[in-house]
Formats: sequence, structure tokens, C-alpha cells
Amino acid sequence: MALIEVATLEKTFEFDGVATRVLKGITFGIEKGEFVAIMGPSGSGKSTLLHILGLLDDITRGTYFFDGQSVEQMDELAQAAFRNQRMGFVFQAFNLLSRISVMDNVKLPLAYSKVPEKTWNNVAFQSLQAVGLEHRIDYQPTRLSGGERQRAAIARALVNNPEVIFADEPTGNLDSKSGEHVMGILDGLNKKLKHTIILVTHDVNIAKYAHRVIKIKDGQIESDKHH
Amino acid sequence: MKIRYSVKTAFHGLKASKSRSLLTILGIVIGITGIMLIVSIGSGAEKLILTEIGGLGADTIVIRPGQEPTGPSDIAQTLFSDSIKKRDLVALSKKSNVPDLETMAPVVFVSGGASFGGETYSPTIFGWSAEFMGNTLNIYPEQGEYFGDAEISDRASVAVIGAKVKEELFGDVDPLGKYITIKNHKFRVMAVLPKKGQLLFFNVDEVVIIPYTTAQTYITGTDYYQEILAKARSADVVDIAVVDITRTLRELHNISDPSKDDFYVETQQGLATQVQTIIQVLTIFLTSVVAISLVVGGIGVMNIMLVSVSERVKEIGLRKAVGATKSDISKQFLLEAIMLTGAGGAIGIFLGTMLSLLSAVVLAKGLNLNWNFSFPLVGALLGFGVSLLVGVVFGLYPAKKAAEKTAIEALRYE
Repeated sequence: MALIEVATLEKTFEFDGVATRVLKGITFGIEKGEFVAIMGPSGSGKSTLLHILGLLDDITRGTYFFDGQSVEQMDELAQAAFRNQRMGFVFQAFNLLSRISVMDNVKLPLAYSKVPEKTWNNVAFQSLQAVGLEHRIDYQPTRLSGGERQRAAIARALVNNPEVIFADEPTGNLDSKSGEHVMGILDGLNKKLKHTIILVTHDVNIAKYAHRVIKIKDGQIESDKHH
Repeated sequence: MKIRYSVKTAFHGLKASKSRSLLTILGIVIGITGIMLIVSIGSGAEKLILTEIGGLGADTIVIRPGQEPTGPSDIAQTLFSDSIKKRDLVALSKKSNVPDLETMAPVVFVSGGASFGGETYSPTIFGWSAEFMGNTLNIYPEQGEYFGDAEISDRASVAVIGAKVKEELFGDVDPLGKYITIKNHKFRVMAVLPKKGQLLFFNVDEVVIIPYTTAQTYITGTDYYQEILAKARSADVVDIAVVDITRTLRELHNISDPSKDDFYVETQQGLATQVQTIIQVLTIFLTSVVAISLVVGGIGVMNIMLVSVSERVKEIGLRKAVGATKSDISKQFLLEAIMLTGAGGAIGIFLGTMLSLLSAVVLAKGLNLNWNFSFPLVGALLGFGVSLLVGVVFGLYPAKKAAEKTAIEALRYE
């Protein structure tokens, strides 16, 4: 069984009483260790799909199984535990807390885990080492460059050693050099550490890092190709 | 979420906007400071009054005319009631009626001023027994001698004056043997009291004591007393003496229904209980008034916490994305509110203690009262407990609002 399996997935948003179908019957599976890029034009529903896969949003209709478990059957606590222990998130806007240090930002997921508090520093340091930011642990995020901020966000996503990393336009706010650096890290995580990476992008050059590209258009899968 | 981490996170949250946090807790600080001051001053006043009541001795009994006052408006009827007269004094003096009484002295209140030479002063004038006063309050003349029973039965025109009266009327002149004038009647000064300051209901330094018989005959022209002070043989027989006094006066006044009593008898224990009750009621009342500021402060905290939730929507989204549950988010914001009000409570306790100490010094030195500062532990515990409670009550709603946001709604928030 695939790690992620969605079938006839639908998502409808309601704005001012008007229902908008954003996803219209999406079906696919993602195996462990895959590097998948979800592409599509603006408003195609690719980010919504990523949020649903990352348990950040609910589905309206259809089924979603994560590692054989029906997501719809999970309560709030179980979903939170899944997000904490089996998933990591990298956002376009980094979403680091500016008032705390890089180290404390990376420790954030540990606060909601069962990892003993005395090991947090060690675990977070290893995570920062993996992205080459061990020399910035005491910095406030505002003192980091864009690329460094995204690497800190990757370190945070990695800290609980999740099976899947969801990345929503991770290079969207970066220059091309920093973008390549960040993608190099994600690529390494997939190749060396066998993390499953699911990436949303509209950039063809970024999508080239993935082994499989799912194109979405008007809420439906337009194509699903392996490189 | 681990508690140590939660506290650290909440602390960072509050530290991020120090000025706002400080301004937010002002209401709580003022409220707790107020509670501390009220409890401290209430407790100081209670101790002072009880000490002075105790100074009269546990064996002292006070018999007053009229019905026992139940409020301030009843005090006037007691002052102008004329039901306790010489016949009562005579009856109570008989061992067959009240065997456990040792001595008694009626008191007559005299209004007006006293003068000597060109100087005039308005002292507190009592028609009393100077000897009884001295023995009861343990005050002995600094100069001269007290007048005794002989002067009282002779209606002698003699007076004992306080230190302040001496200073105002005589200055450096020796007052002994000199005559002061009260309502056109001259009184020879027999004794001067030492400086004692405020004692219970009068200031010893500002008092003039003349024989009660003389006061009635030459000044008030009345035949009744405002009160009779009596001493029982010992504190153990006070209750028996009260029963005997009550029975004797009812017989004398032909009263069969106790509700129709035209006198009342007070013991020091009864007085102490009354004073304690009055001060406790006053303290509770004033504390309740001050508690309103805590409610206002709590609303301020709730307001700021709601602002904080709005400002940190993205943070809430991020925390949920990395595994925080509704309960984790709710606890974090609730903890921030509690830490905020708890800090307000701690500052309030510190300020309240300092102000209580300052007021104790001012009351002791400035007003010459026997006022002792004691740390208002009850006020501190009450204040801190209430401040934490305010945090819980007024932090719940913002915490609930924060927890209700879905991860994606919060992450998308601009």
C-alpha cells in the first residue's frame, strides 16, 4: 500500500454563501521515498491539495489514507500527532517566529512531541547541522538571509524526523542561488535520508528536482508523469 | 506541551511587548495594592483598638443609658438618654445587689472650653473620678495628686489637666494651685497628667477631669450620667456581675420585658467582639469596592489578549501545523493571561506592602498612635489568588478564540 492514497478527493470552499469547487475528484498515490512536484497555474488548487495532504485542511468528499489509516476517521488529537511526528512543513514565507532564536524555532515541533526535553538542544542542533546552520543557533530569524531562513524552516521540519516533508513554494521568496541551495538540501534529504518530499511549485526548474510531476488544472489532474 | 516550555513561551510572548504588558496590568496592580492597604490598615486599626480596649482591663464593665445602639444614628439617643442616675449608682454599690463589683465611677460629659489668664483652649472635659481613671488606665499624675472621694462628695471645684491643656493654657507657668475657668466656674488645678496621647476614645493630653458631682451641680445642671464605669473583682466574675447589674437595674426601673430595657451593659470582651465585627465588615466592604478595579483590570487583560490573538494568528497556524492541539494553544494563551495578572498581583503585593509600611510609619509618628506594621499575609495571599483567578477568568475567552482557529485559516491570515 502507498504511503499516501487519495481517491475522488473534492474540496469546496464557501465565500459569502457562494460555493466554489477547488478540487474536483483527485485520485493518486504516493509511495514512501518519492519526490513529487505538484504543479499548476495560480488558482488550480495545488496548494489546497498540499494542505489537505498535510492534514492542515479537511476534505469535502472522497477518501484519504495515510499509511493505511483513514484521515477522516482521525480526531483532532490524532491528526495533530500525525502532523507532529510523521510530517514536516516548509512554507514559502518561512513562518519563523521572529521573537525567538533560530534554535528555539527549530525546537518548536519538539514542544508538542514526546521527545524528552533534555534532548531537545541536541536534536535541534543536529537538525541545524543538516542544513548547515549550526553557526546561527542564537540568531534571531530577522538577522538571517532569505536562504538561511528557509534552511532554518527545513531544519524545523526535519527535527522530529518525519516521513514526509511538504514544501509549499519553498523557493518562491528566494533568489535563484538561495533557491538552488534549498532545493539541494531537499534533494539530499530525499536521496540520502529517504524522506518523501511533496513539493508545490509553478517553477519548471524547481520541478526538475522531483522524480514525478503531478500537474493540476481547474481542480483536476491534468497529467501525472515520472521523470 | 511541557510546562517549562509553556512558561518560557508565554514569557517570550509577554516580553515581546513589554510596555503594553506593563500598561495592561496597571488595573490589577492598583487593585491588589488597594486590597493589601485595606487589609493592612484594617488589621492595624483592629489591633490598636483592641489593645486600647484591653488597656481598660478585662474586668471593666460599662453601664450606659438608653437602648444598645445598633447603628450610628442611635448614638445620639444614648448620649441624651437620662435613665442612669444617682439612685442606680447607689443600688449598684450595694454588695447585696452586685457582690462582685469592686469600684464604680460615673461619667458626665461636659462641653465647652477652658481658660486661664488670656488663654482659651477647648479640651475634652469629663466629670469623672480622677482616681478611678488613673487606676483603670494606669496613668499617674506627673505633677500634684488626683482628687478622690472627698472632693467628689464635697462637689469640690478642682481639676486634673492633660499635658496639652497645661501647655496651651499655662505655657511655662506651673499650673498647680492655679484656677482655670470652665463655663464661668473656677476650678483649682490639682494635678497634671503625663503625656500619653490617644487612648481609646479620648486623648489623655487634651483632657480636663473634674468631679462628676461638681460637673452636674455647677455646669450641666443635670442629674443623670452618660455612663458608669465599674470594675469587677476579677475578669472571671464579669459575666456574673453583668447578670446582677442587669437584674438590679431592671428591678429599679420596673422593667419586666428585656426588650424594653432603658440601659445596656458592655464588657470589654463584648466591645472587642463588636469592634472586630465592625472592622471586618468595613474591610470586606472596602475590599469589594477595590475588587471592582480588578474586574476593570481583568477586562483590560482580556482586551489585550484578544489583540494578541489577532496579532499572532500566523503563529497559531504554525504551531498547529507542527503538532499543537487546540488544548495546547488554549493553554498557552491562558498561561500568558495568568502570568500577566500574576505579575500584576506580585507588583501589587510589593507596592501594597511598601505603602502599608509607609502608612504605619505616618500613623505612628505623625498621629502619635501606637500603630504597629505587620505584613498583611492574608491580603497578600488573597490578592495573589484573586489576580491569578482574574487571569483565568479573563484569559479563557481569548484562549478559546485562539484555539478555535484552524491551522490553514491561521496560516492564510494576512
